[in-house]
Amino acid sequence: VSIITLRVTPDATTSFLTLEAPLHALARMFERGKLTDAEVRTSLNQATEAFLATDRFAMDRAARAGEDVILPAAPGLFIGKTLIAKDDRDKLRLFYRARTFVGIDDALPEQTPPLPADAPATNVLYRPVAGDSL
Amino acid sequence: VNTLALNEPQEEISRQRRFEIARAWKVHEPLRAAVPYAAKQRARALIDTIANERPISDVPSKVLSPIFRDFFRAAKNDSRQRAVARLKRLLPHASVRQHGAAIVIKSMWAYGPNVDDPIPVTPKRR
Repeated sequence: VSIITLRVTPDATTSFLTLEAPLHALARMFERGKLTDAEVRTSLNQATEAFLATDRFAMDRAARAGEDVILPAAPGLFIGKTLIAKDDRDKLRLFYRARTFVGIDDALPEQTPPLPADAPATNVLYRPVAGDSL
Repeated sequence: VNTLALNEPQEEISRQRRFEIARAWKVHEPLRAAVPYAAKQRARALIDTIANERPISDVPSKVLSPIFRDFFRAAKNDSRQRAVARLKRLLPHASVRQHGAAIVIKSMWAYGPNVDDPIPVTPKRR
């Protein structure tokens, strides 16, 4: 059971699955973040925008290495992974699945969100596909 | 790090104590501490609210993910049961079921280091 967020590509030709927040992570937002429903929605959108702003090559590498990716979701952080899944056109797409949520004060020093991409052309939003499947 | 604490019987460790141990060991799910029931209920309620705000037939096809677009087009006039059956055919490797007004997909194929070698990603049992 999850909430997913979808976004439209900049050329407005299609949309794609961006972020998945499973029940467990959502419940942690209510428990640890003491959030209201409206604040949870805002946080999910914030995390979605942060994921889209990251460098897609870095996210691709993290997905293949199975590394955790941290995303800001005020007043805390999502801990989760970037995943690669095929869409119905056989393109490999990047999306993010949150595993859990921690308050900002409980995060470890090394648990920091990735920096945004250097240029818009290399961010996830510009081309949310994995590897060379362009 | 207080290693003795980990030898205490789990039921005798208070919630606060478990959290302190977890901080000391730098892990974030202290001894698999369960999510409180009330928090899960609130999360379920939010999922239901969002599902009711956006029933299947109301979602404009142009904003749907390509993964689901064909499904929504085909399932526009389906009952929920028929829509679930259709989605199961479309996503044979996913677990699809009905949850209130929402159709829930619980797993999805993802690809590991070798893209020719698919790995099923399934949520942990809770």
